[in-house]
Amino acid sequence: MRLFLSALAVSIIMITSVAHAAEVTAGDLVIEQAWARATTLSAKTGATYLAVRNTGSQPDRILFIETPVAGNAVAHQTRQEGDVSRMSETGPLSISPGGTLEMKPGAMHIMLMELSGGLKVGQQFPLTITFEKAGKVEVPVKIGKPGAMGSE
Amino acid sequence: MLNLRNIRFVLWMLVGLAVGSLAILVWQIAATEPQRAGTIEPGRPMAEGANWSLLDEAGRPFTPADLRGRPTLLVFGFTHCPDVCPTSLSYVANALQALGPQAEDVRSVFLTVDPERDTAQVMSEYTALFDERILGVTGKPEEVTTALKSLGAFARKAPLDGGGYNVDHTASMLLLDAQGRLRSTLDVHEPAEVAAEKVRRLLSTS
Ligand SMILES: [Cu+2]
Repeated sequence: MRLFLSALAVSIIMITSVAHAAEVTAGDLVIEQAWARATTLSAKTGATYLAVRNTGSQPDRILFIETPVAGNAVAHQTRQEGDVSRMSETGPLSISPGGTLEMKPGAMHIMLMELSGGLKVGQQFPLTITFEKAGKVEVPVKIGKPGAMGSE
Repeated sequence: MLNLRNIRFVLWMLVGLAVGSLAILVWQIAATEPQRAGTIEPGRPMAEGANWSLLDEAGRPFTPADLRGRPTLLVFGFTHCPDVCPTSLSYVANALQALGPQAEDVRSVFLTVDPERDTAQVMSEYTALFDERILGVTGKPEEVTTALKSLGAFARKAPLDGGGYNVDHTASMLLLDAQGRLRSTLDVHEPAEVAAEKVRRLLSTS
């Protein structure tokens, strides 16, 4: 019975850790659904998407984004003007109290530049975000299909 | 008397305001006009009278003649574009999937707007990520510029703060008939089945 109970406890812990695998908490911030698109082996650029939810009463701001898989990681915004698509840096990103910063294809993304070795589907890489108030947070990023439209 | 004068003054103010805002509006429209170089006109012949010579991902020549014979799905983009281009290409891949065996009757072309970085080898690896049937096309930069202009597509390099550059470009996906005339555009916001249906309609009339 004891063995059964501990087994049950272990499996409950495992289930919850799986369920929360895509979610990372830092102070008042919850970072969820971090995913990227697979690229070719020789690709120099890639895109990562995630959402940051601010459960607190203070605004926070993203200061830096870093990852060992890329030389450079910058928040970008894609804009559609008529039938022309443009992309540029977003500048400082803030998350208002109770608000969510949501990234998705065709809109805001974290642009990875100077990738070394590309991004392989099914793998995972760490992304470190430094927030002004919540500090440094490491988020695991799941790599989906090259044309994925969301985290699977 | 004074009242009437006041009213007249206010009226003239309003006229002035209206003229002023109209001028600003006209000026704004005029200012955005040159950026609309890539306007898509249905029925526009894309192959007829065109003179450009590109290379496909296998290094074979690709010329306006290759836009004839069967309908073409034409996508503009570049491989350093991680956000918009994979969305477009996976949409095309899904449309081909939805077409089933009829997918063999249509040609899918991914034409680069960044020939300096997109060599035939790079294009070949990139298109294979989405569907082997999508043909990457690149070429000498001057030839690519000529082809884009001739196809009514817009492309302009935009430097990025962190170094390197992005290429602002026409994001519409074009559907040409077997004579190389523009018939319709595809929209990634529509289900892939809608794109497949547009292709099927074209196949049944050509
Ligand atoms: Cu970007």
